[in-house]
Amino acid sequence: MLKTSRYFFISFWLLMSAAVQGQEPLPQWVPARGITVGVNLAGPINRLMDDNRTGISFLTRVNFGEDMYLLGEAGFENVNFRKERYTYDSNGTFLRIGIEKDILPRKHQTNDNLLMGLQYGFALHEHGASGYTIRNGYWQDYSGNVSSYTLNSHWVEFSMGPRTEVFKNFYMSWKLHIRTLIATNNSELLKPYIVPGFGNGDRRLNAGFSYTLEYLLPLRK
Amino acid sequence: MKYIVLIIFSFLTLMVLPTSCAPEEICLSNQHSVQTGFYSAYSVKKDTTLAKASVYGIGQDSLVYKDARIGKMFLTLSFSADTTIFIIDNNTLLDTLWFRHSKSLEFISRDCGFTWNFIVDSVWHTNTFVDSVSISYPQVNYGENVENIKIFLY
Repeated sequence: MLKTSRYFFISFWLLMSAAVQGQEPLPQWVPARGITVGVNLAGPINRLMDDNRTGISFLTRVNFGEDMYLLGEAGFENVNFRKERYTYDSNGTFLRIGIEKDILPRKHQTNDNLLMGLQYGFALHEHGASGYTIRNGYWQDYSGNVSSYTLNSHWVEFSMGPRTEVFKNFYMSWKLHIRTLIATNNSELLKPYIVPGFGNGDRRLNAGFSYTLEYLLPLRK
Repeated sequence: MKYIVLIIFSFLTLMVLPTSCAPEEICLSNQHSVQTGFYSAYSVKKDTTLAKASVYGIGQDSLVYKDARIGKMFLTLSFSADTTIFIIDNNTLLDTLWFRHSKSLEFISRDCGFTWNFIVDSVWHTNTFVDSVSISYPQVNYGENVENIKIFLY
């Protein structure tokens, strides 16, 4: 809880500092343009809250138009746990592509953004339950397993959040995401514990967050 | 327009976020029991009880009920056999119930794992003090609390 509070405090501080900077127009300001490469720390942060999960993703974005970005992200997420009821293993990768629009008014003349995006996500992963036990309570318990198999999932997501230039060409951002599953080829009994990049496999609608660090490779004029 | 989008997005996030951060689900136990109720053979609408009865499964050392006043029974079905047999010892009078069933595997949730659901196909019985039985609801499903079998007593 303390970590979450600290996270939100830092994030809001960044947003506020961006707004304060925005009130002081920079001389001869030119919007930053180029390709960024970055890392999304949502995976490592998720691991702090749930040590069954391991994952990370990397992203890139490029400007197009006045205030639009093309965004691409790729990563992996593995889940491994041994519970009393079943043992579960999942290994998978995901890809996310989409667009983002900066809705912060241009009059602020900073490289800070308030980004609103629409993305398509795709995950390919293998999962299985190497052992499960069903307790009976009176008669003999039952033990079985579900062999690993591969499945894919498709979703769309909406995202929104601030992005600020903390040093020259170095950006930090956090975003909230709402994801909705549109298709999966899972016809088996076992549902994914986590769909990589999407979240809880029990649900068709998930909320998530991202926390990214990006470096801008400026385009020369 | 931008502010409307912001408000809608914030509202949607607030709606979805609590469900995404939901605590671990509470898993139910003893969900493989057929529920039976005792009724008078002379009046269908009148339920009845056994004053001092013991119930056990064939081949089991432990009792399901011991010298208990029983109006309804929860009898756990076997995972390994397709017929589960229980004996009711009603103050030295004995009756046997055979439950023939089929089962299907179900994945409950990521927190609770797997379970077996049953369908009770047929029930046989001896006639010491049991007059007849009827299957009122053949499915024995996880999370349901429904009487499956009516047992009519002399």
